[in-house]
Amino acid sequence: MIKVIRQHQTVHSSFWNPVNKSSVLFKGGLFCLLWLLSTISPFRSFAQQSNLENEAIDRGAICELDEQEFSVQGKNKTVLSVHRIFRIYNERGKEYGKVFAPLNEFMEVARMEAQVRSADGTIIRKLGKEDIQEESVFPDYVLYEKTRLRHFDLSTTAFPYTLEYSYEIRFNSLFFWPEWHPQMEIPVKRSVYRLILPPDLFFNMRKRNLEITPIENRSKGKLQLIFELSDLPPFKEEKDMPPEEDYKISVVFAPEEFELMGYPGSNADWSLFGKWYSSLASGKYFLSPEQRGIIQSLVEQYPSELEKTRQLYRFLQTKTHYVAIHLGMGGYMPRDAESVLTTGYGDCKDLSTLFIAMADAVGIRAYPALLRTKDEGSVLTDFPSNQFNHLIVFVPLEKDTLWLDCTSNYCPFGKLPWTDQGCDALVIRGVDAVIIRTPASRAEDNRVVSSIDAKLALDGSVEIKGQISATGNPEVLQRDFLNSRTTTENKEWLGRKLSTYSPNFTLTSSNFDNVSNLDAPFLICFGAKLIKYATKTRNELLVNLNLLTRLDADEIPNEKERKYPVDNVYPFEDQSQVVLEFPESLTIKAVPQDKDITSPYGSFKTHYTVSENQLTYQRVQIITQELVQPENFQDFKAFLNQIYGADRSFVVFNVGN
Amino acid sequence: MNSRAIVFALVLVIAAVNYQEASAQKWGEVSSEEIAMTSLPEEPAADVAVLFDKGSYTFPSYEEVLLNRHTRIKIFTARGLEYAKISIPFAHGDKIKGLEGQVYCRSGNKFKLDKSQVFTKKGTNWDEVVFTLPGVEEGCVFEYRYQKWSTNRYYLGNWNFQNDLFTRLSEVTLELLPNMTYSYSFHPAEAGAMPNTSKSDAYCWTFKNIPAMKKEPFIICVDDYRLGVYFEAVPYRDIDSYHPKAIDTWQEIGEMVSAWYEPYLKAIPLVQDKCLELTKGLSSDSAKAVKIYDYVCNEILWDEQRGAFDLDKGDLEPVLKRKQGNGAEKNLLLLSLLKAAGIEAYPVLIGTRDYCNVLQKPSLIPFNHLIGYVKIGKKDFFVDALEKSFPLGALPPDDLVSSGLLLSRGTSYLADIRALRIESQEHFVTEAELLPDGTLRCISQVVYLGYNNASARKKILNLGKEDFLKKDLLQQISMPSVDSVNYVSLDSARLPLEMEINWSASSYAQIVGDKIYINPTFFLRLGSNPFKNETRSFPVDFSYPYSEIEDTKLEIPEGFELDPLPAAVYREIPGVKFSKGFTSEGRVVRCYRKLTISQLVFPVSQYQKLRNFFQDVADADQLMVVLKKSQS
Repeated sequence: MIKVIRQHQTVHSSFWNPVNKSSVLFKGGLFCLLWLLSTISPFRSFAQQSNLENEAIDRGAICELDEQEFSVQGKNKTVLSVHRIFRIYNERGKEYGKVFAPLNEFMEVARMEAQVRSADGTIIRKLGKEDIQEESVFPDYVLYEKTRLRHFDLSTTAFPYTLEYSYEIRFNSLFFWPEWHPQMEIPVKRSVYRLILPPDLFFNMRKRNLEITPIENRSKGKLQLIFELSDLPPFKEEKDMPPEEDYKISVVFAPEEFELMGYPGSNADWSLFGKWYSSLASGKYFLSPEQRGIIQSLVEQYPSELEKTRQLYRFLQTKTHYVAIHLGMGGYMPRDAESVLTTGYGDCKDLSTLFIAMADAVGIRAYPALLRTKDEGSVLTDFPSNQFNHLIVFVPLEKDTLWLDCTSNYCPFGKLPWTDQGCDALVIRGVDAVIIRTPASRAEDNRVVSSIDAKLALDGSVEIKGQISATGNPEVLQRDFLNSRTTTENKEWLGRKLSTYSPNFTLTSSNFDNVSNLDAPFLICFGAKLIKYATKTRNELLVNLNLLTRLDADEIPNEKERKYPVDNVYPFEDQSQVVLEFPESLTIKAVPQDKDITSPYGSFKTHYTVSENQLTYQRVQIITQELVQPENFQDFKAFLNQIYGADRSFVVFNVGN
Repeated sequence: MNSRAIVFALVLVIAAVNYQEASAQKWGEVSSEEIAMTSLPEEPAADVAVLFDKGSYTFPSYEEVLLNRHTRIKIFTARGLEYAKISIPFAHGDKIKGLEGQVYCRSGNKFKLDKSQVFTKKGTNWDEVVFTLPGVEEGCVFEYRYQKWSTNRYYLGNWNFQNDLFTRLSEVTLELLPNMTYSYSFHPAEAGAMPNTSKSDAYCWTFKNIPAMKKEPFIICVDDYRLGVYFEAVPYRDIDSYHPKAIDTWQEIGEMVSAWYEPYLKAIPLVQDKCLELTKGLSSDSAKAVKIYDYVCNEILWDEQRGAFDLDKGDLEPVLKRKQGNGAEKNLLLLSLLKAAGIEAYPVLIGTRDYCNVLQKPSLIPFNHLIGYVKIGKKDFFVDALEKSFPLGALPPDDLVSSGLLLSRGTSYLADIRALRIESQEHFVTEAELLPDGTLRCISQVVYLGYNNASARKKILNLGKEDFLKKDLLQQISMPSVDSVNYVSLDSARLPLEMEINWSASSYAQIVGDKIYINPTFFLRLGSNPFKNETRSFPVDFSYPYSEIEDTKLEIPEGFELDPLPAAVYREIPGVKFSKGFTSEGRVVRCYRKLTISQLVFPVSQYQKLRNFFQDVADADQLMVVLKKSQS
């Protein structure tokens, strides 16, 4: 068998390059010829053998073989066979003895076999029925989903040992076409992905961060495509990197036609994919006459479409909350708007459907927009397929285009949570569906402003009164965070935040009144006594005037070299001011130098002003670049280090005798 | 904690009569006051509160127990809406029936829970019914009720009067059939209350205005302090007799349980063969015991379940063959091998420190783990082969309890648990050089002993070596750069873990004007007092006794001289001790810090002393060495 192996490429080259359609569209016999013409690739291993072994021992295990076969056996009948062999060296690799396979309405686990061999090859354990367990599993934000995991754990202490297992999953739809992710957190010696397909099956394929050409065979009327890689180094995550999915090597597939629970769909282009969602949502945008009446009365006093939309969104935010229940098609098909409004809960597509129905009731057109949230990675815009995990609403008004996320109870009207910003969304307008990028935010949109009046006592304690306001993403995040917790928990959170740099504290006052009121600016007010905040030496008091906004060491990526960009999540601006009143018996011995740093990534300024027994500290930190590329990493790190150093500096007071 | 309190529990033998609910809270009868409430006078900051939570245990037959539960909740703010998502956990085999829910809004709207929106989640250890109430909004009241059917009549589960929310009223009743005998036990034990017994067969406990459970640091098991009660059937020695005798002494409980474990302690051929193989050539019982103990610790994988009462294999053959077992199976294998080697060994039941049940009265409920008691000549000790970090006779931290039920046919008794005292320590010795530009260059020797050794190894396993260094060991160093790390005995769990780290930091010391300020406590500095609350509701639990030592020798740069060094600090209260001293010799400043914790549990009465102590430690840990540019 020929191995086709290429070093994996850096991020954007393969990711954003226009797709060569001839190499990814598989249309019967035609594609094979075109494709074979481009199969000449150098044979190259990903890593040196000895390095792999060292990595394997350090990480506790190596995957000797990861072999997967995906066989399309009928229109709605596919089978994934998985066969893996792991060599486990020590306790650190034990987790690879735990094996999981999902099952739900769309997939069933047909077979599970496993055995453990000792170093000399003797079989020391075989998977028995009693080893296999099953439990419900879904993310915490989902209240219920029918997915279960069938799992077993054949870990043993007989290091080193070899675990070999295989299982089979049968799917009842082509919609679920497993991606090939050959890289793991441990080295992989050999990874094989085999497709067995009817020759007349049309499908699309996309390679991510990798150039590979599969081997093609034909036998017994089937087309066989084999992807194979060897000696893969472990994928090493870097601090604050963008979603891994965008940087790991993988091959993804999408059938041109599919059917899910009787709903036929197509990935041939975005419009056809959008049409499939429309068919799922068809008939769901219905409100009872009574409900329509209520909605209409809500907005009748507002003449403009913008104001009407604002009122509807506010109504939705106050009357509903996010609860995800996914049953059968429920993971894909929205509930009907009438029941969503009645029950007051739903997931993203339920709540968006309700909003679209409400808008319709007052004569405003609004459309569903499928989205892959930014924390999950990017959408391959030239690869129509189900790449989405969220649904928002697109409202094309005459003067403004609005994007609304109906799951956020505390997002200001017209703004999107940061996870929805700058994302490629598939806006579905009836029979037409197009990719449109959602608006991104700028640093000045995402501002946190804090101001503190502080009073220093001779024992080093500091009494403070202050407030924090925020706009943009920090505002939405804080509102969501603080409103998802009880008042008591919020006080505890505030206390911890205020006392981050103090040996102890007493929270004397707190006010979160504006946190749940979207009609008022976001504001938290507080008072506290920071006990022995200042550091004492024999005859000095050292006071760091940055009480709240220090850049901490763990916020700075500290790799020596960087392979992936640093993701600052979103551009932002932090402004803070502290006015410190100090006792007359103290004299200022030293004040840190003012800073004024400008860089391609943002800027940083501090300014100290002394006036009698009052000291004013002002600090502005602005980060303008959302993604810092690896080639700029050292420069960016140096910029952050300068901020870090400035944030540690303190004023020295002489305490005299 | 088993040691904390031992309080009586009543044994009730009850005859049958009818019992009627004394209280007026009826399904669907939500008062206008409840709906109109805008805040809770008893706790004005509450976002949500339990108006009442009522349950009654009845017995439709002698084989089944039925819990009828009815809960009503008031939501005051939007923040409380999350509490409309309900989860009802239940054991495999139990059944939840008759679930209903309804919501009453201020507007007068009423919503009913749709049964199609009620789901069952399957879990490994238990299942859950989950649902969310429809139509909830600020100011609404909702209620739900259900029946839980179970065939486990022995243990009816915990009824917690105290919730994570303020609870206005919580009530539980127990209605028994003729000739049934149940005991009740309260936690915390001192809260134990006599039931209202208006009718002779029904017993009712009611608590009002119960504050929400507080979250406090340094608690191993918060449920030990949550106000609650559990009911337990009292077994009979002879159920068919006209005069049955309740099994209500430790010896009788031990007699009953011993029989369950006997098949696992029998010397089956496989165990005998393994024993011969392990002890071949060894003459002393001590050497044999060590060999057997090491084998079970190292070679038999623990499946991370304790399983004291979860034995279904019949004997130990599957455990030996598969080299895997739960905690009870591992320790029974250990005891069985020891017995096969002619060593006296007995099983002992304990309730581990993380298991929330107080040892109050003869019962099995307070136990969750089986360990062993071994006698070799005049020496005797307790053994637990779950983890491989500890030598024979030392117990894992969770086993550090005061007593357990030693099981021996005819002579079972409540035994004091004594563990081999192992020295637990984190010890850091650093030779540091400070450069004129504030850069610090260091070589640190680190040693972990005893429980700290096991704990450090677990962290390395969970975090990986790199993150252990960055996120744990060097977390207090600003921007450290690690040049090299050498580990000694990383793969030998029983040996102390030693490390040598070559590291530097350019931003650690602070230069202000002509001075350099540096804190010479690099690793063990307490950034803030861990006891921030002025008052404490529950005792403080430390996981195990230990000491931490940091010894730094700091060479100061040429051209600088020392400002006067900070004064030495010494603090001691019963159970904890701290010292920190600064000395200098030539160009080297030495800072020696030692903290010793010798007491595991500090009652609430000692909290202020403990808090003040740690405040002093935190203060001392901020002390700086100050260097000034020499005038010359």
